[in-house]
Amino acid sequence: MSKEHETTDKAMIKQRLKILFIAGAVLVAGLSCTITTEPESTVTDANVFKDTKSYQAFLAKLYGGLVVTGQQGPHGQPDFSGLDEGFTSYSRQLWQHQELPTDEAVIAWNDAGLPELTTSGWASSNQFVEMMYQRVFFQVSMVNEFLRETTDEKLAERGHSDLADEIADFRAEARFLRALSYWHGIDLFANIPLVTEADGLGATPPQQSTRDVVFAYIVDELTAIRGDLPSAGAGDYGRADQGALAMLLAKVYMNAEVYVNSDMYAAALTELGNVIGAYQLASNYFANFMADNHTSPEMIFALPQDGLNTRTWGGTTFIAHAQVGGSMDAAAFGLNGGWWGLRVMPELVALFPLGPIGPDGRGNFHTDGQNLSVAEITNFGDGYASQKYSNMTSLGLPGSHSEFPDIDFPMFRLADAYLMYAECVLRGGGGSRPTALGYINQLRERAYGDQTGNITDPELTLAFILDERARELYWEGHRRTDLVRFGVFTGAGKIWEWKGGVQAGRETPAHLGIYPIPARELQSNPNLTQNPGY
Amino acid sequence: MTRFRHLLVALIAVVISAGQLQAQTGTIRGRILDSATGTAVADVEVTVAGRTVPTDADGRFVLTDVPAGDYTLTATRLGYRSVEQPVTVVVGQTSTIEILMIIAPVGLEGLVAIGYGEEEKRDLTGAVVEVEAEEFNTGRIVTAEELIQAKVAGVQVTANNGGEPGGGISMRIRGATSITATNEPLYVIDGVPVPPGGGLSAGRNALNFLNPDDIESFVVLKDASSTAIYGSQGANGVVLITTKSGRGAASGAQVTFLGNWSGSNVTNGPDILNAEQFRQAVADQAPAVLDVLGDATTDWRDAVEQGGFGQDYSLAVAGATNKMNYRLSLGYLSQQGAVKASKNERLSLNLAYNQLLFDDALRLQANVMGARTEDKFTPGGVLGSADNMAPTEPIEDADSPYGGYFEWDDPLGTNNPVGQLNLILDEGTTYRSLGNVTGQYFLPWVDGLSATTRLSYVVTNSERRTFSPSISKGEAESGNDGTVSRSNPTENNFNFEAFGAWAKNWERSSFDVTGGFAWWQWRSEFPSFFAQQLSSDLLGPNGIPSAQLERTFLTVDEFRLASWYARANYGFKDRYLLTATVRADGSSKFGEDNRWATFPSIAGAWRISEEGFMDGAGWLSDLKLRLSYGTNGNQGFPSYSQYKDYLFGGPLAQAQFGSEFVSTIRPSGVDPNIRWEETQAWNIGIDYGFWNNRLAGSIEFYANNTDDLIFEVPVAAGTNLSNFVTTNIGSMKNKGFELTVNALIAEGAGGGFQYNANFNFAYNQNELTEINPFFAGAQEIPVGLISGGVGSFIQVHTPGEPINSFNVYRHIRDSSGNPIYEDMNGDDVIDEQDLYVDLDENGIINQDDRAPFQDPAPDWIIGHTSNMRWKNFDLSFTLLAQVGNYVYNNNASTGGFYDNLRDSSAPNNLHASVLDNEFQRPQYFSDVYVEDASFLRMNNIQLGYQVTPRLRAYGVVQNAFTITGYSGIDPTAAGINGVDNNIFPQVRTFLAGLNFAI
Repeated sequence: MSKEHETTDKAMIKQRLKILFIAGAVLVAGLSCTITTEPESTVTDANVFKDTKSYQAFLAKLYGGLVVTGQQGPHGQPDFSGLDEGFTSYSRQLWQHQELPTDEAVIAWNDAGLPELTTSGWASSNQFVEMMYQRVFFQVSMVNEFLRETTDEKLAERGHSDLADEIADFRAEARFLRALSYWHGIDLFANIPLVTEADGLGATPPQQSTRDVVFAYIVDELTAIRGDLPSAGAGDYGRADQGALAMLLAKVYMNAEVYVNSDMYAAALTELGNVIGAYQLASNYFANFMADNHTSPEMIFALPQDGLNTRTWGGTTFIAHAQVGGSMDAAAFGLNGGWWGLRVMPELVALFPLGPIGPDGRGNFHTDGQNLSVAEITNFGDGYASQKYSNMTSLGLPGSHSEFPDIDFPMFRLADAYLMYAECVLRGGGGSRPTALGYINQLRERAYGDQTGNITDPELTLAFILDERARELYWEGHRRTDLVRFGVFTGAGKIWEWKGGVQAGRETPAHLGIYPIPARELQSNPNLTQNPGY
Repeated sequence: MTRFRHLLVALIAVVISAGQLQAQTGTIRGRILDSATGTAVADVEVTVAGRTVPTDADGRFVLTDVPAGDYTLTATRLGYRSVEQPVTVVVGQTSTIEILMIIAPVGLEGLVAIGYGEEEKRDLTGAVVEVEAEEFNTGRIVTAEELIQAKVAGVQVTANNGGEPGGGISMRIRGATSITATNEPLYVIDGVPVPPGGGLSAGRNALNFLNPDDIESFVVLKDASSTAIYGSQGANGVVLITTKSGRGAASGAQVTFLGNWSGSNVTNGPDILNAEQFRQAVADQAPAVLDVLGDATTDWRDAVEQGGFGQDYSLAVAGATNKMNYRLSLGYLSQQGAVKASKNERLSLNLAYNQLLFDDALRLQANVMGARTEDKFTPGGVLGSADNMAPTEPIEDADSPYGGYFEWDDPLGTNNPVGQLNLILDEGTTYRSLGNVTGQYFLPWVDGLSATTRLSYVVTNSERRTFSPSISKGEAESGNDGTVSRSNPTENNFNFEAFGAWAKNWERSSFDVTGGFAWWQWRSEFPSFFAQQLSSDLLGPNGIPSAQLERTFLTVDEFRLASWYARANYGFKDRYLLTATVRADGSSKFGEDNRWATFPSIAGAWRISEEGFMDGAGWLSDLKLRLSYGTNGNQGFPSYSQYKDYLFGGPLAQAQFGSEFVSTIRPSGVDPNIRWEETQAWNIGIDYGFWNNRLAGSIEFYANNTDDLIFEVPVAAGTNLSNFVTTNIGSMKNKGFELTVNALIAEGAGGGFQYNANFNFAYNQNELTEINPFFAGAQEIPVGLISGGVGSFIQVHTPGEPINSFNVYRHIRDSSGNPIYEDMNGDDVIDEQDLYVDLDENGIINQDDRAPFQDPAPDWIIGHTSNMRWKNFDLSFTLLAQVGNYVYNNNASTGGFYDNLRDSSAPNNLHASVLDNEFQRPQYFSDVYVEDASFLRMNNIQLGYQVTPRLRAYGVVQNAFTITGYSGIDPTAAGINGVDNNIFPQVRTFLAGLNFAI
């Protein structure tokens, strides 16, 4: 290699290196412009509604929020952080808050704050109270966001105006679900904020509202959307129709004396009239609590669960498993095992003449190895066990999965409407007393299998109604509201075991009629004032 | 393939042509002696013209084929000061040279990697600690991080899963700086950053792909001045790992073989009842279930444990010439755990290649390392079942439908651990490779200016397989009826770095500056599937017969970071040193407005011992005062937090509309303005050396304040789409002090007794100062999920206390200090009203009477290493102590009460604490279970013998003994978070090994 060549080579090399260097600099400049990465396995709000199926999928979440606890099922990608996911189920919390402080139920588990629901010992730091509150507002927030994302303007922007009719129906359903949660909100917590789609997402904590304002809002909303929902009984199973709407309105009106100190039984009766004709009693009482209870003609509004498609640790998974323990055979309930949790209080058993062996078939209690009285809350053997819910179908086959039952949670059913009708008649709302008696006796006949349990007109009293509601509707999440309406949830008017924190039961202070605003919520929202007495 | 062949041919051509360049050369011969004793010094690295050779046992070295010219020869050896000496090579002649080296204690001399460059240790201004291979822990080391446990002050290295071989490791440098984001340091391997915690693996520890035998050194960057060059990744410190290269190898191929064989046994069993005690307890406390008990006597722990055998081999070939050097190593490791079915296997390959090109103007380096790791896991629940299963029951039961293993009829009963072990399969395979090509070009037109470009990648392909047959009890009772699952996480990371450096020395001052650009792109994909309710068990993990339920999942994650950075050093008269560093990072994890942030730092040092007024103090060989301040960030949390995105619902969470099931979407709650966590750090350090540095070390004081802590904070209901939103709120501080002492106690002149000792002490104090500045009342974030109850949290983050403080009731004690268990208030029930102190004095014992009590982080971490040498023998040991670390003994709290016998018709075994405490009901939140787990552990003792200059034999005992007051199995079993819950048992390991060099 000559010297000359070497020099030329070196020059060339230098030249190439220079080019490389410049190319490198250009590459650097190019790279630094593209830091952005967008989610690939989730979709941003900017893109999600490019797919028109997203509207229905979002609506499905609004319904799903009452049943499942996250996006994975039965757990995983939870809706809430900070708590065991199984505890975060809407239907489970609603059930616990409505049943555990009453004469219908007791649970053996020692989870922090759980025994306190039975012993009238709940405080604002109670994790379950907090979860209930959060669930109500999760539903409200989801609905508000849905409504913001489905306005006519947004649809036009996306070129989806042709879907406006279908989406108008979706919007009505969403508003029904919001009204339902607000009803739970004022029933359980009374003084809650009213947040609507007009309040954007943001950091400003909402102002506290009053029961009156939220009550009026619920009534206005339900009245406004009625025309957009399918007629009673005509909606898809699991979705709201005018039957569900009328039932909700009737419940709101019937409790108006509690909520807004106003007698609205007549209005409740009118709404019940919109319900009753559209449904029929199931011939078998227990068909309403089985794996195929979606076929019950009595169901007005249910929260569907399915072993293969809708899995949750809440809802009926919780109720059905927790009711099984002791000497009970889980397989007979279509389940892989019991959780040794729930029993009934002796006061409920006492409502059934002769108890479990009596003629009223609804009093289906398991007594083998169980004591009638609840000496120890945490002992599954104390208190009779209930056999109301079962993951077997009415044909005697097990449900699709033995851990996750197919039982749908019966939120509103016709028997409830019958009892409400009778109660409104007795409370002076109008209607017909003989019709009321007829409704009641339909239930009695189904329960007894014949007419031996039928009652006569003089026996149709408010006191009878309260007891009959327990017999017909125990463990369906109504009891606390009923006891409050009858004025005996707190105070000394009615005593059951562990009311007030002692086994014999005792008088409790009136402030327990509503739950406290959760302590954590008071931290997050300085606009809130704690409910009186807490 | 063709392409690959071309590449290979080109590579070989390069190697051959490099060899042909030797023409006008000469030879250097030399000998190196100890200046004090005159004895020969072996294993000195002698470097001339980019080539390095070691001295032999007689202190001699030879470098042949050195091109003629003038050179500066450098000689370095651990324990001696580096020496530079001029040498002239004449064509065809041999230059002879004798060099005297002065002893200096370990760790004060030489160059140290500092991120995008190297620096003389004496010129450091920040808190930087290097640990070289000679100082590493010895024994059965599966995971690289174990090498430096107890070696660096302020660095806590804790196994996440007790004695599991190759298990996950948590490293904390100067305590935890974050709650939601990562607390792990940034690992940089040969200049290549890996994602938080080491990245991805289907096995145990993502860094298990590194063969510890291939590692040359660790450098730990502790203060903000040294970590600022890594900006938003530096808040938890930075660990730079450098792998071995062919630098310093002989010109011919130099082959080394390392092999060791080990066995281990479990040090300590759980404190549970034996069959006789258990039967008695049932008879006394739960006579109703006495008749369900069997008449066997089974030690369930014994039935699931094994003596863990291990073997580990490394074969390396290294060579060097004038222009290039290489090292190729092959490693194989197979390691059983102390619990049956657990095993770790690794096959690793590591190639390092360095080449000088274009008249040495271009330095090309390539490193490629790859490994296959096979992890076999003990199925989840085996250890817990072994502790809970009644010791009165037999292992096998011929009539059992569950594979012939005894099982309780009651589904609430504990499952047979041996059945779980033998029926359930859980294993992972990970292929991982990390590589980089670095070109450093010394620009000819400016003296001292170089430009460096590095392209690097990390690729991981992994597979986790599980199979649970329908006949296993767990499957039967969960209704899953047979589950097969597989997940295949992959990782595809690409990094580009380009930086320039310029250095210039004047007569009295020196200056250098480094600046550049970095581009990191980390992409991971997580496909997986599972199938349940299998129609047959026969296919095992390798096929899916028809299944009732089959589900598939996929998520993808990508993170990008672009950065500009610069560092300048100025030194004046070799005694005033100043360093300024800045890094600007742009990250994909933040929204447009918060995308870029700048992290500056500044540091200065004053080498007092160089001052004229110190001339009289000859005994003081080194005294340097350092001061640094800077800001770091932390973004070690999930991507896409700034997006309001919609999460698709899975097939198991659908809503029923009529007869159809509809998948859902859910919008997420979000703070679009989320930004970095920032840590502001102060460090004051003193480096000292006495008597020619025979006693030397450093003292550090630091304070780290983290602001804008990222928390999931509760938001006012109705204002967002979740009850919690991830946002920047809260502050935390760590302050502490570190002391390091290196002492050369005996010099070992003439092959006599030599003794080197290192002590390091670190004290750290953590305090959460603020969670939510907008709220005045009591604030608590519950953490630390325990087993027992559902959703029971034992720890709390609350302002004024260290993070993860245990949040417990104060149990009332009797006169002898034991917790009471009696009906104090006479209501015929023994409950919390009787047992706990009414802290808020309101007459009721409830949640509000729980209060913070101690925390799992140690106050003091103390490490000590002794190295002794006498003639051909060497002896070393490493001690580790922690003081003030508390552990919640979850094994005792879930097993230590008699209700366990009554909660079902299949009684569980009890923790022996029940015999003392006599609790009938669980007392999960009692301070009885929060124990001081301070300990002193003999980490390893090694005795070696140099049989011939080429062969060394040695034996090691690891975890020889532990002194502790903790009542559980092991004081470190609780991992970094302090909840001891059936963690893999701790083992003592005996190992014999050979090192062989050709």
